[in-house]
Amino acid sequence: MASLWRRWLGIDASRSDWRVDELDQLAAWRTRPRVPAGRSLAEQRWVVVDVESSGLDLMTDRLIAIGAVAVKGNAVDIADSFEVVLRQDAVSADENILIHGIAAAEQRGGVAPREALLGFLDYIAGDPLIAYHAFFDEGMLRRACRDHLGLKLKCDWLDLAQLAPAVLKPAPIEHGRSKNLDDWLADFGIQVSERHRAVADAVATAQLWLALLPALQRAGAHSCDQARRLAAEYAWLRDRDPRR
Amino acid sequence: MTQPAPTLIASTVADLRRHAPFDAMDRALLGEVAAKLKLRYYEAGSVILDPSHGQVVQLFIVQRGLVEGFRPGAEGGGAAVALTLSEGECFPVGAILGRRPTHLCFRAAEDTFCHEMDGAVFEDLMDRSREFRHYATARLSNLVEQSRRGMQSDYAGRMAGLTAMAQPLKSLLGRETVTAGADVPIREVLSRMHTLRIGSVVIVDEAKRPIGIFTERDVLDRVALAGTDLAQPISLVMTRDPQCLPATAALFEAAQLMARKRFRHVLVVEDGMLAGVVSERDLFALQRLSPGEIGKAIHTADSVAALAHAAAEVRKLAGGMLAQGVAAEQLTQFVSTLNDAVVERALSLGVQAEDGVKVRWCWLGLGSEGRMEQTLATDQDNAIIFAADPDSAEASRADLLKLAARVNATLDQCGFPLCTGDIMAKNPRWCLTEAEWRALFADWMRSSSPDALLNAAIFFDFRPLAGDFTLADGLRTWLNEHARHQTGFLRQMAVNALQARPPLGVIRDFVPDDSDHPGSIDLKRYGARPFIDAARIFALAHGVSATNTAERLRIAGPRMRLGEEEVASAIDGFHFVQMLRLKSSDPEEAETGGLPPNRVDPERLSALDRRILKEALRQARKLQSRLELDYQV
Repeated sequence: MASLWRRWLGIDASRSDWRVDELDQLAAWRTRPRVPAGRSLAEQRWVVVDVESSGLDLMTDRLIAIGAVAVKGNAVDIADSFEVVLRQDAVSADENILIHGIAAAEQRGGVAPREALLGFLDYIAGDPLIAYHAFFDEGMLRRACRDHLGLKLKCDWLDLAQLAPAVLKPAPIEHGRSKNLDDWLADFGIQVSERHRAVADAVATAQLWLALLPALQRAGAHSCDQARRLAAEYAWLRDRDPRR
Repeated sequence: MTQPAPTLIASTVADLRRHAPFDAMDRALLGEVAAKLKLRYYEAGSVILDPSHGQVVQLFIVQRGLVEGFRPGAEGGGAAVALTLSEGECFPVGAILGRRPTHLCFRAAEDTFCHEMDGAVFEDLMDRSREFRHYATARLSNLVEQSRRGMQSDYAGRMAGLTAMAQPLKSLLGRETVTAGADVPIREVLSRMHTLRIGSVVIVDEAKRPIGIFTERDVLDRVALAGTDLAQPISLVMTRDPQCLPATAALFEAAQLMARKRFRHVLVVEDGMLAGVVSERDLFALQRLSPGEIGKAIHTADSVAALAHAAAEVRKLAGGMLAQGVAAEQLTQFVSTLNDAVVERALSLGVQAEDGVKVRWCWLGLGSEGRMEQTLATDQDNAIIFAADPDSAEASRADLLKLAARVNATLDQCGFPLCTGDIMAKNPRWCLTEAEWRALFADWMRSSSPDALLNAAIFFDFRPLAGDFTLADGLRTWLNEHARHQTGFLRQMAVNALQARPPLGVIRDFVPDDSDHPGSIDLKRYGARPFIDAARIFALAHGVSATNTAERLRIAGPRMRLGEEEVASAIDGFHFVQMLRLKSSDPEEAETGGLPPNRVDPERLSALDRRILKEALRQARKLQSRLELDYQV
């Protein structure tokens, strides 16, 4: 009913081709409750996400798939997971198919982007997101939400590429290269069932998050805010210290 | 909430299916299970579960890493570790089945991820998957193995009863169940119970579906004290909606149900129709089904047919014990003890029929029978020693051969096939006087020919089974005195023994022997033989009378200055190989994968079993290096 009013009042004028339930989904996202400050790490439901795209350029490449799994109570909940392949008009370049393994037929047979993204917003339900190199996943999702939903996506993100070195303080490996995701996964014996398959990568990232929790607690971070602050401090220092 | 990601379910299922028992389970069912799992991380050294956590409500499945279980109070590491669990293994199965706290502390030995399965999901799986149920209950009997080693002796007794309890209810249904329609008068039901001397009647509808049960206990409060008119229909006083279980459910499930609901009877149904009744009494009777009772049946058998029947019971029970994973040493001793009784009875039946024997004689078991290491199906290997002067020997031998022929035939009927190599007491070559045996043994030791070595390996493991044991003991004493000085002969035996090398590789874990079954190894020839042969040589060289391999190692060990630990490890290794052999000859065992008896494919073993097998074979190697050292081979 509320959505009918909105349409009548012209608030969603640009979305004249939307179905009512889609408008409802968007309204639900906009009115989602905020995460209370100071919530403990274990209490919080975290959405660990990984996206696959047609390339690494945030401005021109397209979002192809989203995979996510939730962590709550310090456990990966397999039932609380999400995956979607977005329907593509133009199938992504051949070389990229080799990386993310989503065949052209699967891309064409995917879910309409609007429906896929609204489904994902439903799934997040306003909870904070975790990713490795989160700027990329965030960038891809933001642009897709802007293009397909006319929505400015605002979420709390935690980047494990910043948090892992912040709490584990590893010695730099050869040639000053810093550790990448595969290095961290190997450190904890985490295996990826199907690398570059969004949901499989999301599970591996979620396992890395679980493995970081004990060290995080030892570093004195017990709440979501404290964890995010640790990551941000590390990123700030790293950007100013070329050796890191 | 949205549906869980299909790719994630599929990859979790694939992950689980890399290990038993999940590899044998239905994919769709596994998919359901996978969607209910939670994945948790445990830092190296952190405690996952211990007795203080209280009643166990979750099953843990190791996803990555390594978990150690050790007794509370003991510091982890080394000898205190009771079990090591690697990827795909579940814990604590016994505790979750028993709805109790765990007895062990479980700790992550490395950074470890575990799947957690809720108790409700576990119970659901126990109901719906035969493979999982088999796995979980077979695990229980591993605790028997642990208790045998004195680790958890307090509940050994309870577990011994439980092994039989994993049989399906079907196995207990024998006699016809007495039923009555709902409108049959109470008086008629009571009189039927009285004349048939039964404790319960099941009330069924037209389609034979059970709708109620009436037991002798109900007579008192619902009929007698309540003053019910006996002309009323039985449906008035029956217990409605009785507890039912499918015929495939395990006995312990019936026991659990009775304990939980305080019922004394559980109805067994097949396709909704009544198949029978299992009472508390039936279950208790089963738990008393002991070697002693079967032994009694053997001792009182008054005909060959009755004896054959009792012998079949031995095999049946042994098969059941094997299916439950009872330790190899217990099982082989159990089988040997009862088989000894069968042989003894066969001889007393034989003597009753052929009373012509006038001299003292003793029946000898040879080979695996002599060592008390019989597996489920073994050929006869036997001989006779008797006391006679050279001049009267031939007459006595003729009498004894008649007896032996009869006994060999009886044993054949009892499921011990005749020996294809004719190593049997009815063969005149193996029915000898004391002096003849000594001369023959001395000849073998002197000549050390291939035939002599082969015979020595079978005959030197002789053990008295019936008759005058002093004759066998005398021969053993003589052999002990003479064999130790025959160093040339012992050395030849060592050379022979060293030809069968345990198949351990430098680069690969196992070296499969060349055969029609690629990838598999022959556990009899390359697994058990090295232990048996080495133990025999040690025993002969050190005057040990025992014939059992473990016993020989235990006694010879200190005389050879082997450490207690060394001896214990060798014996454990031997028993593990024997257990795998027993399993490999069991047609019910899923792991054999179509291989002939005594063959095993290491790739098909669980990661833990594979590790133990490797260690067991290493122990065999150690015994062989001792032979090399002692005899400079």
